[in-house]
This record gives sequence, C-alpha cells and structure tokens, in this order.
Amino acid sequence: MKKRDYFPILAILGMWLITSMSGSSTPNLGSTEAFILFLLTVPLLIAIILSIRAVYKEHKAEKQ
Amino acid sequence: MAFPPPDPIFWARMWDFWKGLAPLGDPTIILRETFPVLLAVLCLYHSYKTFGWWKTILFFTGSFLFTGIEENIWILIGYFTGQPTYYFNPEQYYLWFITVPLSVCIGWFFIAYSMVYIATKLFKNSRLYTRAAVGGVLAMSLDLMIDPIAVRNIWWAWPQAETLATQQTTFWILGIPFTNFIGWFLLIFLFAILWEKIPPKEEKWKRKKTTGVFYLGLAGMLGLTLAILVLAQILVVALKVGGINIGDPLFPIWWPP
Repeated sequence: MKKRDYFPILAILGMWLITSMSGSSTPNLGSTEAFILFLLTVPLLIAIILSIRAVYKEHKAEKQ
Repeated sequence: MAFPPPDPIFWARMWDFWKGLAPLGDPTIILRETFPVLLAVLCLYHSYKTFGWWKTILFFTGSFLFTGIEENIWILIGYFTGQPTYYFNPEQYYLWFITVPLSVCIGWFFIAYSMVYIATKLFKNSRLYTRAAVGGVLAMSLDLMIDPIAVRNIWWAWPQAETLATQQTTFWILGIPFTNFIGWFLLIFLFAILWEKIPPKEEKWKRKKTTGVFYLGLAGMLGLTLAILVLAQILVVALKVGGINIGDPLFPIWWPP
C-alpha cells in the first residue's frame, strides 16, 4: 500500500472543492440554493471521508 | 421564450478539435481546461501502478469514448431534430471532441475511476451491482452540485429548461432536466459493471479478444443508455410531472445570436 492509494479520492475531493469555489463566486446563485446544493453532495462527502478511513485502515493493517 | 438557434459557426466547425470561439488567454477558461487534466493524471498514475498499462488504457479510452459519444449523440439528437437538448458554450472551451469539450470527457474518466474506486473501498464484500449502483449514486450526488452551478456560469445550457412552459410540465431539478441525473447514474453504473466483468477475463480469453469484447460491450452499453434516456424523456413529457423549483428558474439566454 502506498500514498498513491489516496489519489483517486483526492481527485474527487479536488473536483468537489473547485466546484464549490465556482459556486461561491456565481453571481445568480442564492444562499438558500447554494446551501441546498451543498446538502445534495453530503452523501458524496461522507463517502469520501469513509473511503479515506478505509484506505488508512488498510495501510495500518498492512504495517502490522 | 423560445431558445434561439445555435451558433452556426460552431456547427460549421463541428469536427474541429480547435473551434477558435473562446477568447485566448482567459485565466478562468485555462483553469477549467487544465484542472480536470491534473486530476485525471492522479488517477492515471494510480491506475498504471495498480493495474498496469493495458487496463489503464482500457479504462481511459473506455470511459472517454463511452461518455463522450453518449454526450455527442444526445447533443446532436437535439440539433438534428430541432428540439435542442443541451449545448456546451463554445466561448468557454478551447479543445473539443466534436461537440463536447475535451476537458469534460477527461473529467468523466477521473470521475468514473474515482467513483468505482471509492465504491470498492466502501463495499468491498458487496455484490458487483451494489458497488456499481453506489458509484452511480455518488456521481449523481456530485452532479447535483456541478450542473446547476455550470448553467448559472453559462458553461453549458439546457435550453428546454429555459422556457417556463417546459418547466411547468416536465420534471426538472434546479433548472436541470431529471434525465440528466439518470444519465449520470447510468453512465457510471453501466461502465463499472463492464469494467469489473470483462477485463478480468484476460487470462481465459487472452488480451486481444478481451479488448474486442470490452469495446463491443461498450457499444452495447451505449445503446442501452441512450434507449433508457429516450424512454425516460418520453415518460417525463407524457406524465407531465412538475419539477422542483428552487431559486430563479429562468436563466438569461446565452447562445450567441
């Protein structure tokens, strides 16, 4: 197991971040709408966190 | 409010890799074109180190062609039938794969790769169809944020969502037709199934046959996706299901006259 095992997860996290940043500078996007858009991606964020945890656990298990 | 006919220069240059309609040196366009490539490089490197070059090429070309051809067909159906489906703004992208920006097709690669990877990490012991469905739902979750932001920034547009009559009678979410989200789910779901079913047969079938079957399967999946999308489109129009209206539903018409 290597650090590169995090790369595919980081790619999606990067995409989420850049889209969020674009959203924050979008003039005709209201705050309620922006909040709803954020809520809609919560399942993805949870999956990202859990998959980072899963990879971390795999690394740890392999070290032992 | 009728959507104006698409820019004739764009269609005249449909097959050009470089259509020359986006302003040169625009930092936001450069960032939008470069960022997906950087994220794709991360996934390409991971794939090469994990699966080797053959599977990496198979995944990259497979996801690129599967999604790129599907998007092109969907756009061209709208163009040739005179009932626009959606268009990418030619003033916002430099490099093109027919009518779809190259960065979008590259984006599909790393999204497909990452979603399959995340689903595998989370549901290691589940059935293939469960993992593929999880990948599809996660991709759809991401697009629920991407698409509404993109249309408000005029990176692409869904012209049928721009008429009030359509919005009142068809199923759309945040200015985006519901069929788009079905499309996102299907593309990742079907590609994940194909990816986990065909390449592992390499030992039995040998590389040449496996490659052929993979691309044949891809063509079949493409036909299936388009058939489901057409059916879903017919159903939402026939059932006249009202959409969810959040924020200002009518965006300015952006297509150059």
